[in-house]
Amino acid sequence: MDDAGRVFTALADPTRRRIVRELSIDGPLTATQLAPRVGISRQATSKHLLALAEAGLATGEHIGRETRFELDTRPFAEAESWMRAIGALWDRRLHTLKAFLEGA
Amino acid sequence: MSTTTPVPDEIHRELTIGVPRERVWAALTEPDQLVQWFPTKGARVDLRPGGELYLEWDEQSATGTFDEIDAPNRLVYRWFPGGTELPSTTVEFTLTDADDGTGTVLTVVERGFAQLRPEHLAGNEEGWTSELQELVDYLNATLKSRH
Repeated sequence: MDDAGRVFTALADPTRRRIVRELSIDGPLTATQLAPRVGISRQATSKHLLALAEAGLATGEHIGRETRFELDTRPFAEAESWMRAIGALWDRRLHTLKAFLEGA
Repeated sequence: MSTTTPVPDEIHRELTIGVPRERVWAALTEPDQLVQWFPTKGARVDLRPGGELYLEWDEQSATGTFDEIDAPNRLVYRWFPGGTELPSTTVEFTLTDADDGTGTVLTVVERGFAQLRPEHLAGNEEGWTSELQELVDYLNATLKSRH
């Protein structure tokens, strides 16, 4: 699976979207810190964090008995380029539509 | 969207076209006009709620299902780039009169990308046009050359 695919898979889950959002605003964070922000248990948060790490979207650093997770922004850049590509496709279509209707 | 992520979930475009809403509506909904700008090789339009939008290119096709039809104001369809068994995006066209009184302001929103599965995105699969893949390659190359 390529980067964009991993990103969209990870973001398909609403809880993981919230975790990604919190990490993007305030990361790095531990599961203990994240759990109350996301409104789920620490254990459930840990599971999501590990899934994000396995997908290559976050990296963990051990601090004592806890792990602090940080977003890896590189795969998100690829997903963004997909969005930009689809946006560019619309730009092209709408440009053609306007020319077609205005008879240019 | 109740939450935002580093990757936006929707694409939003707005443009003014110098023709009345009825003509824009016709271009969005009549097959012989749709093929001109989308552009596609063929199009079939069953313009009723639940009706199908079918577009075909040289080697592939894709379908949509109309959700809302309010001529000449608003058109909403679900779009299935990877086949109907996979999640869809929603495409929403809104038409309003432009300030000059003769033109139309057309807004296009496509949303739901975060629900798509990797099959949609992991290469030039059925439903994604090769045109799109070329654009992705181009954009990726542009991104890399900037780093």
